[in-house]
Amino acid sequence: MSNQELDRLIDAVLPGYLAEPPTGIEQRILTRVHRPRVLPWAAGLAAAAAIAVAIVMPRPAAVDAPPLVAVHAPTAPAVQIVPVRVGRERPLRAVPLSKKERALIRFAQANPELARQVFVDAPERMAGPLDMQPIAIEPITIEPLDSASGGE
Amino acid sequence: MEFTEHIAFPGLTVAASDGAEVRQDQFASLVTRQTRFVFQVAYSVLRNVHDAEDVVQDTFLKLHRSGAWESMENERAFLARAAWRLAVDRTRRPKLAPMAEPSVASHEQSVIDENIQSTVHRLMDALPEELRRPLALSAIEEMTSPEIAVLLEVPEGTVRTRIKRARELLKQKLAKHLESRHV
Repeated sequence: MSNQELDRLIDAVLPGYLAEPPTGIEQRILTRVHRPRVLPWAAGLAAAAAIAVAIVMPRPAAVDAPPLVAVHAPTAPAVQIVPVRVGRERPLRAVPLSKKERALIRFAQANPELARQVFVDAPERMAGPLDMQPIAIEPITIEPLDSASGGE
Repeated sequence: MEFTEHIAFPGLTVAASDGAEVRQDQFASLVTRQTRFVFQVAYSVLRNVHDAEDVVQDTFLKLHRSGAWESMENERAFLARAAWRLAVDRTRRPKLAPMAEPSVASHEQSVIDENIQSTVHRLMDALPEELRRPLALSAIEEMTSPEIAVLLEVPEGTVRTRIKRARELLKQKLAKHLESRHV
């Protein structure tokens, strides 16, 4: 093939070296151009604010994270680690007293000494060790039957 | 930028809104008019349709945001330069696979049974970049040597020399390939 023929061949195929743009590219460009812009600094600011709030915000008391204690299971020789639930203190609420509660209060106001014995002393005694005296049983003496019946 | 504020004078609001719409129409017209050209500039560097489209979108997006499109004196040269820079930057990204530049020998062996057009294109791909790029740009419609010189930031004479050298090299390899087919 001559030099001129090669030149003509290259000229003929050279335009095809470049691809045509894909269909719909103009619409995609315009869509992207008119899309609301998310400013990088705004996104960074929002992230920084979230981190700051997480740092500053007071953390809940330790009751949320129950301590772990070792419990020896009776059947298994290995030590089991189980979480112990510690109840969160409930906030005080203004609840109206029931009839029984009101009656109890009236009783305590009318008989303070008795109420103290019942509600204070008695539980304390119950909580303490029992102090029991040894029971002493006298031997039973039985009169002979002969003497009783012989008199008749 | 869109004017959505309510100005005290209704006439001004309408005028501002109309101005925004006019500018949007003008920009859309620019996109329609130059997308093919910008795409081919990007494609001449990247040789990949998806990457080239990304570059085209980035080019128009930056142009729109900067507002530079409203003050372009030579829009073709401006757009070609912007797209060229973005495309070249893209080839320098380490995470992207480098543009395919397989050896001539491998091309010559693999294209024996392919048609002549794809053979020439593959042989072009195998040219050194400093020769391939001006030759590829010369394939773009109405892309003149002075425009290529501005784009590549080299004298016009250098562009002509490189295109000539590229063609000579291409002809040599093509002739060698054709001879091997006839043997």
